[in-house]
Amino acid sequence: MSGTEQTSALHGLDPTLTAPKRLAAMALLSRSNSTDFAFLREHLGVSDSDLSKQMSALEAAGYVKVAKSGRGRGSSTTFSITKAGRRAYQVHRDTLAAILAD
Amino acid sequence: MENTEHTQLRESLRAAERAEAAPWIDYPPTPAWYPVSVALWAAALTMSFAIESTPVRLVVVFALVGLELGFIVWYRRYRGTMPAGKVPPELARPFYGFMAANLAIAGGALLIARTSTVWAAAIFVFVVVIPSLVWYERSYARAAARTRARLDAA
Repeated sequence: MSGTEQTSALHGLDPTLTAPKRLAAMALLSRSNSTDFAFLREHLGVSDSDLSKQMSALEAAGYVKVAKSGRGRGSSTTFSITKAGRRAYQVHRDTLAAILAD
Repeated sequence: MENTEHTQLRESLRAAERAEAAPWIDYPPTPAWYPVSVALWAAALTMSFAIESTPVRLVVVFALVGLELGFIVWYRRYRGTMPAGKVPPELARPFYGFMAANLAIAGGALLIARTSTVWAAAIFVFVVVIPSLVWYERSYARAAARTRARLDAA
């Protein structure tokens, strides 16, 4: 199911982004070229497993890309927003602002 | 019920606004060696224009550009993110001021190189870049603190 198809008829909000942690993750990624797992975890104030779960949902929706490098202690996981993700985030954010302006 | 829903949506939007600013305003302290290193790098780049042999000059310029790219890769890892897109309004002044300062320094160096020597231009660049970067770092930190205060208080 594409991001557009997922868009909820109710309020026009995207169900994938209604979870506050996922929305915050998308907001952060929309203003960066790429962001590390640790930076996202600290900003969102979540555990490793929770962040992995949220980012997997965003990856499955085609909203983020994941890049892994290295192994063991020196390994790193970085996330970046996709074009579809940027579009979905902007639509969701604009809709949210419009609802609150009413 | 509707009020509760609106409150939740409002909180989500506030959290999103704070998160949008995070790559710009949440960053580790800049290393103390940074201003002097950048000044040395800029002076070396200026000096490279004094090299008469074109192939040698190109090698030196590419080496310096490679060094800069290496620094950017390291800094992205150190910071954990690389900000992009719309700059928070508080940061606009230091951000664009820094761009203007860079252009002014490049223009000044060009003028000195033409009217005096490339050596003099390199010394000018080294001397001017350090206070320029120190001003930028302090000004940016103050603006980032104002942005954090605005978004955390909202």
